[in-house]
Amino acid sequence: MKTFSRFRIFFRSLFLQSAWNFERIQNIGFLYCVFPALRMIYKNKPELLHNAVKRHSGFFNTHPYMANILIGLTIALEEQVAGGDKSVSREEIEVFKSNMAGPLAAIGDAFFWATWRPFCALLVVAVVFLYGGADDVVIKVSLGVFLLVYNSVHIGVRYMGLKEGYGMKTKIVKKIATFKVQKLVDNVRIAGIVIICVIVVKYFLFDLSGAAERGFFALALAAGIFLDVKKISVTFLFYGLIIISVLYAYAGKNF
Amino acid sequence: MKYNNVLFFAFLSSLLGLDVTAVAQTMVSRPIVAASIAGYLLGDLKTGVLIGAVIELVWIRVIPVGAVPPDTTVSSLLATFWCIGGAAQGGGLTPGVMENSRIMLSILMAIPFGMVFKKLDIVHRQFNTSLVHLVDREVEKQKYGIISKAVFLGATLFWLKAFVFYGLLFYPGALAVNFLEPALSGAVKSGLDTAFKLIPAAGIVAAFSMFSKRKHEDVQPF
Amino acid sequence: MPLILVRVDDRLIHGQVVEGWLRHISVDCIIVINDAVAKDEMQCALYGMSVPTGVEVHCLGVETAINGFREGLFNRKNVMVLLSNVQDTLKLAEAEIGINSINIGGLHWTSGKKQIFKALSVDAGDIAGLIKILRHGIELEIRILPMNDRIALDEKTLLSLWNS
Repeated sequence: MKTFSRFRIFFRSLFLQSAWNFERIQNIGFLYCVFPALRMIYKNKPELLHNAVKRHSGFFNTHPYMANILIGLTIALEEQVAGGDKSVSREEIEVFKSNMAGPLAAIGDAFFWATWRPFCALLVVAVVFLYGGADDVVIKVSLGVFLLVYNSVHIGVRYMGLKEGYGMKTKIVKKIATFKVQKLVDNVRIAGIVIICVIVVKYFLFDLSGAAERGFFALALAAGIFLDVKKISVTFLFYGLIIISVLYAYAGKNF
Repeated sequence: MKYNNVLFFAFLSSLLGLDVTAVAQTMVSRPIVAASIAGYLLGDLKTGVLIGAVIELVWIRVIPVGAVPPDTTVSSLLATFWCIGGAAQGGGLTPGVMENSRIMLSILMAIPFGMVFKKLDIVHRQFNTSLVHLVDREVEKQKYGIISKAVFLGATLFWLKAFVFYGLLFYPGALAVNFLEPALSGAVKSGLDTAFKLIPAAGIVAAFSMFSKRKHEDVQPF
Repeated sequence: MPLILVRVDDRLIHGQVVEGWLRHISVDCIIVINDAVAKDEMQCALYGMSVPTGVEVHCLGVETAINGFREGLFNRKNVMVLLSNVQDTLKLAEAEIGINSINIGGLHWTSGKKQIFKALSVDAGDIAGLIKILRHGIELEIRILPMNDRIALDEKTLLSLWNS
């Protein structure tokens, strides 16, 4: 797969979820990504192309960034089989695809959605809290940095996933193991907790004034933690705080 | 730079909305980014950032796993436009003098619409199943052009439903906020003001819960 | 042996399981019961990477797993069992190792099956198997994520949906 094709497929991979549906989730997007390669592999063999397209129309669901690993892998294996290599069968390509989709989704969800994205967002929010949003330039720069930092990992995974999925095929699992993703998740989370603590302390000391405000804030935090332990959603706390504040104001005792 | 033009904003917002699911997912659609962009273009970056930060934090635990998540992007963009765009139209926007109660009011009004949008989104995704069958049929006939067309159509639908949604809601919502804000009684106003100062607590709790290991997480708040 | 959860999901370990269920229940050991996966080292390694630190993953064949439970191998752990199809689940149910309730998280549509719930598509063999599991006195509930509503299954509902 020459570099030009790789960019083309990379570009297509950005649209993996454009036709998201409840029946087969990302199947149309997946087809969209592998089709140019399939057409090249089975040039002048319309029956084989037809079978290949049908084969890859099935249920497909994984993390959108990690999907490129499977796209690269599929293309490489299809090339291999079409080239006459008997060590892999067409059925096995399907099996690899569906076996790997689940765990890759778990890794992608755990790292990107549950850790990296909230962490990067937290950094921007921290800047807002710590600098009081006073300086426009600081805000713009931190937003830019957030997008840059977040997406360098994002695009890196998409691009390298495609490249290495193609190059290493199923051996890519060993490569993924070297990243020790779960450990990374733990470390980023610890960093996140530290930042949260800094935010709380700064807000408590510098942005609230008077014992009443601080007292209420501490109470709100305590209530929130209590509700959280009881597994009640934070939206409840959100609306609860608002209602209580309004009622309290009605009672005539303003700060 | 001030753009109060509803059509322009509906266009921009629906483009940003594509980033939520349909295209790339670079996080420009995150509340903190989208609301800031909208706020900046409307002439008040700071308010946009505040709205974005509040929504981002409080709903930081929402992830697209399992179910279709409530759309915090929609809530942020609606709240930002209603709050700032409305203020500009109300005659004279002085940056930095946005009342906290107005901000809270806008957010409160916008959140239910995020839920409504999610329902629309589900209907759209259910519709897409027919795209799957269409692709199946064309593939049977060995006509593969349908694949690209389906992807393009899918993306267009994601964009279009957002465009119509925003287009219909931006102006009335801004009028509503302009109408409601002065109508707020002193107590409610002061209560909302206080709430604005306390809301970071909710966000902090959410963030803390998110980052502590294996704690409960509501993938679908509400 | 605190069997915290027995889940039937043809995608075995994936995002919903890790970010949904593992955040909701306290589990330190996941047992994937599947003959094919038990023989596939790479697959099992991949599963191992998908779970948080502190959670072990074992990939066992059906017979091995049943014997392991009978011998009390997992008694000191909080266990989540994952199965990918009704037939394996039936074998586990018949082994009478003390399962009270089984969660159906996702059996997706493939050709030849009929979709009777959003998360459940079955063929005739599946229906027969599910009914046998119910007759063992084991509760069956459909629930994709912990905070979703539980849909409790009973023989009548299954048959009426299958025959409709």
